[in-house]
Amino acid sequence: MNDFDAIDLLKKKVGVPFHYRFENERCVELDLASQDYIFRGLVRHHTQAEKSEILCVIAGLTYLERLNLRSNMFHSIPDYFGNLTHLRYLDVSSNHLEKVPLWIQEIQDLEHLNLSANEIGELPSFLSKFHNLKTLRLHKNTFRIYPDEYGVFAQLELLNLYSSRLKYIPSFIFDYSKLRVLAWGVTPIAELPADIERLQELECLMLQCNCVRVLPESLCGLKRLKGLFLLQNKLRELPEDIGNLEHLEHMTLYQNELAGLPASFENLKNLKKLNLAWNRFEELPPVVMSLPKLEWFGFFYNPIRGDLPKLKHIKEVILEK
Amino acid sequence: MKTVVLYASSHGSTRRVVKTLAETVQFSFDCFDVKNLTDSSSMGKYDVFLFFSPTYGNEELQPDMEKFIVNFRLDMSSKYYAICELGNYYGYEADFGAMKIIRHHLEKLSGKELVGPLSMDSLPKKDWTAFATWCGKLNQTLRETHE
Repeated sequence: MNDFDAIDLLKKKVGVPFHYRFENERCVELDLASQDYIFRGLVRHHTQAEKSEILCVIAGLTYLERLNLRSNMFHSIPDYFGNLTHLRYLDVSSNHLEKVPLWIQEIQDLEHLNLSANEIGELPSFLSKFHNLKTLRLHKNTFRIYPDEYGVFAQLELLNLYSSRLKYIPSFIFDYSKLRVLAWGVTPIAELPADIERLQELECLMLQCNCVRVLPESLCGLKRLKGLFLLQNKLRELPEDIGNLEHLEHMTLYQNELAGLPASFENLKNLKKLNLAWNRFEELPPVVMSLPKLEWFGFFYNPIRGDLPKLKHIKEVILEK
Repeated sequence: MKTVVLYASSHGSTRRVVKTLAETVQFSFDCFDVKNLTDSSSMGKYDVFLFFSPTYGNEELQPDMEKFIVNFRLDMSSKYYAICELGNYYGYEADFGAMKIIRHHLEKLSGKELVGPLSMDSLPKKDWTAFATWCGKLNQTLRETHE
């Protein structure tokens, strides 16, 4: 069957429009998930037999470079997908995979891999063959070890390890010198290693729902940082030089134990969104009044004494929930 | 106004919230874990539907609730609903998850929203304050609707 016939057959079997793209006579992109569909996965509610037939057709599209099977409740993806050796982008997130499919090792040069929100209990070493990997999303799985072999991902720009079962941040992650986004969360880590400063390209750091009590001063050396998400930790203070993060636009410190902000905070002149809700502030930190670009400010659930000053310069202020 | 609570709970967290609901509100209701319901045919007698569900995975419904909601075919044009989702913190990024999916479905069935939805933070701490406020709104609105 040629690729045109295969896509025609898929249209009948999927039953709703989906994205695909041809180059010459080869189908190179296929998405069976859509942001326009509330459940995302377009064959999510098909029967297992129907899904098997659909996967069988897809496996014949051997020139695919991009494949998105997100949110379709696949329990496995068969080994004959090993024919798809040209894939550069693969999204099999939000399914019910218990293992990383073995056929992935047949791919020649993967650049984007999304395995998040599955039930993967172990990460295989063979993923380390993908030296050109740029994005790796592994969040919301059950594995406990991030293999040492993954130290080879020197091109990685995004790594999401939120809500895994890792107990500490492996030191070689700080060797990912091109990393722009790092997400880590729902773990017992109490400290962020000072080595974080080595990630000089970092633009977004997400450390949600850990037990972090102290942030290293070296964090303030991340000059490119635009988003800093430290919600649901146990922070009692911020580094003195936090104001050095002059490109910071979004910051959430929601649900920590903060009672004050360092004086340097006033240097965050580009801050647009700030969430200080559910902390221990007894008064509005005066520096909030001097952040010229602030347009969203959350401050509910703080034990405020007395009245707050007017915050008319901020477009959206959330003082009560 | 005959009221029913429909909830889904995998690990007991949402069940605990529903239990607290019973202790907090001033109206009576029937209550079902949706995994025990085969379809919505027995739901026609209710006027108000209160949905409770956690958000799972990447912006998804808890599996029992998903199975229930895709088969929920009741004509809701003369009925009211309210939704409490668990698992999303309240911040400037929040507009996804269980609440969005359930609401989408009930709007398609022409249901009327009784009070705005509650996105209840549940990890690591449950936001009982927001929950109490939301229950207060339910009490007041149901009282006014009844009058």
